[in-house]
Amino acid sequence: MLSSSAVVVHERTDFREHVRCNSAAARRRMGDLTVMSEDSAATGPGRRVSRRAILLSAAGAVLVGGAAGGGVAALRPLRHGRRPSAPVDLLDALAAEDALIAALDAMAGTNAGDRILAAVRADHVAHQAALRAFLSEFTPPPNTARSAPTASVGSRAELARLEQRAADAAAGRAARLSGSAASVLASIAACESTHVVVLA
Amino acid sequence: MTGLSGDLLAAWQQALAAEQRAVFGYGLLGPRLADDSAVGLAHDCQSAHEQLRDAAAAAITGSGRQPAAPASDYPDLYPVNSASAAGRLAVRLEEDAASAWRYVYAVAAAAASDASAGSGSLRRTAQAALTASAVRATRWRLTIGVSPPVVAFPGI
Repeated sequence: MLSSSAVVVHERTDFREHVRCNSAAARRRMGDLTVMSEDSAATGPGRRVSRRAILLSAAGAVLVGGAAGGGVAALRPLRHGRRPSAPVDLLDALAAEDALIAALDAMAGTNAGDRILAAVRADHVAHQAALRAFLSEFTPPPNTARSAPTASVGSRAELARLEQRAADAAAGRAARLSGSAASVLASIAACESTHVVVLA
Repeated sequence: MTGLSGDLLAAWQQALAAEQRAVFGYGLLGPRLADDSAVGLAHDCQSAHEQLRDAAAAAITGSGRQPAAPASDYPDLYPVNSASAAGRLAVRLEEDAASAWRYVYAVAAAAASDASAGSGSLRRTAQAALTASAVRATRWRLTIGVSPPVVAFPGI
């Protein structure tokens, strides 16, 4: 059930403004991530399923995130006062994207001009930007140096295995979160599964 | 599945509608496909959507509600007058199904803070369907030569 605080945002705010994406390629691939009204989102798939929607709660760009390491709790960044700590699952998701980009960059030297690898990397840059935008609503943890180990990847098959593990991990993290962050992370998990297909 | 009501029920009905439309669409585009591999892919996709359609309808029925009936026709899917048009329609059907299931996921995720019963199961179902449609859309983009064959946020 949608929370009663879910807001109706009538204008189609460009999500790119929200994520402040730095990469031109990533900006292109961010596509139509838009804020839509609860009502229009609810009728979207039935009338024209491709209508893009993410649900954001009352402050316009705040999260209802999940607390890591246990039960799911509503985390509502406050306009006034101290913001809550960032959910560990969001931090880990960002670290995973960072690691995948590093792995792709390590392959770039021997695969210059590979359009599939370029497309896969652009997806991860877009994911990275979206996750950073979500995390910007939270107080950074005291130790922000959270990172996933960068795997040494020498072939597409190895990269495909890495993508599959990333997809599984993203789906698991999404399931522990709530609100729009969970939904976007579920989409990221689906994307990373498609990478397995194109790298095969 | 139990406890489908309100927004969750509406989202589930929309996913059912997307699956019904996909099944219809593959019936429409199949005869236009030119090569065996594309025909085989279309058969696999249609079969997957039939299973999802039936599962969605069963979930709604199991919740004590009435599944929405499919439309008698889907004029927005026409015309499909070439193999390339058939391939493009297949991509569209999969993207639309992905959107419908991502929406189910979003509604279930919004409900998660209420600790509603069955939310985890429903989200797993929605995640699997979202991922499957995203993968099928990618296979179709590869088949018809769309570049890039991947999108950063399937279903959004």
